[in-house]
Amino acid sequence: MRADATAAPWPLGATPMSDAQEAALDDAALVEAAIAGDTAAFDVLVTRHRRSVYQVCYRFVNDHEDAADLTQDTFVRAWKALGSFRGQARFSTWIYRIAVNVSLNRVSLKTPKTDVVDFDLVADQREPAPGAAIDAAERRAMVRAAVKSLPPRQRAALILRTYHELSHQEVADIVGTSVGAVKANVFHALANLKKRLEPLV
Amino acid sequence: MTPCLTPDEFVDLVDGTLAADREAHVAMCVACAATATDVREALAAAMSAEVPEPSPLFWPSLNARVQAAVAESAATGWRAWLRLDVLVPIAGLALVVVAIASAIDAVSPAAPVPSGRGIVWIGDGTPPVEFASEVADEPLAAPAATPMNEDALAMMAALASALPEGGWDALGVTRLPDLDIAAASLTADERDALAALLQSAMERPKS
Ligand SMILES: [Zn+2]
Repeated sequence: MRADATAAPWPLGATPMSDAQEAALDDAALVEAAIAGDTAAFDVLVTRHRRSVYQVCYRFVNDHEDAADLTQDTFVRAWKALGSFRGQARFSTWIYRIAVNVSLNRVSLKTPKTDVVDFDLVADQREPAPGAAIDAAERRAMVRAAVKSLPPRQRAALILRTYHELSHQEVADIVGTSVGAVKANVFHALANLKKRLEPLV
Repeated sequence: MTPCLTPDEFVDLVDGTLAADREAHVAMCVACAATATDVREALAAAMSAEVPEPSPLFWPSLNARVQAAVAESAATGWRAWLRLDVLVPIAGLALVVVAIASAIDAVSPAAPVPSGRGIVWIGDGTPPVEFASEVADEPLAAPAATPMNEDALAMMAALASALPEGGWDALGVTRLPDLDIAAASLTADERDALAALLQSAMERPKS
């Protein structure tokens, strides 16, 4: 579901908030307003969390267009599910959970072959220039591709723990597993990364 | 010698939260020390890989895309409750549909009229004999390929949600004039949309 950026305005009653109004509201207050139908409040939540959600999605798929779609999907699902957000977790944790689920679903729809092929590409990229200095951008791209090639659970644990500075407990809550399992997944993710990036690190 | 570190202990090690006696093991164990080095190097590599920052134009366009999708989901949200049978007793909804169809029939006989054939299963008990008898018993036209008209759907939703619990029996005939007025304002497109709605309701398997 891709919408033209200029197409539909907010539904009735959405008046943009001033910066001062925005800053004064914490996420919980914005969620409450959004549940009551205030789409401008939801827009503020989107603005606050869009970068971190996009980054989670990007690390799953390693592609801007896919990440943009997943990010949109995450927020639309969040909007529909706002009523089930009870404030027992932080909004950021809750939205991460949706982003991870949306990303895992996308990943599971793709054949495992995709990941293998992607990783082969990484290998191909580095083989023609043995000994040559790999520039920093290239190196980062290889690492991202290697992260993308990890099994989904390892990927989720590594992404949330390493890049989003969530506690193991928070990651466990998001992924729906135990703290021990999260740590094990992080360990195996790092061990696999090490193997896949051997000539690099 | 103490046992080697488990995977989660290696993670605690790089987090700096591993107990001192366990950390002491790493200092004495070549295997664990090597693994610890690997894990630290992999973590450093992972940390170095930032996500490329998208164009500044991307962010407002993302908000706009979310806004548009949210607006769209609000406009089509009725589909969900129609399928789920959660918010509106289905008998009540069927009644509204039948009443509107009857009213359309009365107001504009030449217009395509939804068939009453779905009524029997949609109802949950008493067959709506009186209304059904007013509905043309003709095969339903193929559902319109055009998107459903939002006004017609909004009207449907408003009427259905206005029904009291108990639907048919609780409704009484006094609402018919209202429905009649509402239906009289339907355009041909709206009637098509209504026909398609009826069709999809009839085709839905009983659950
Ligand atoms: Zn050891």
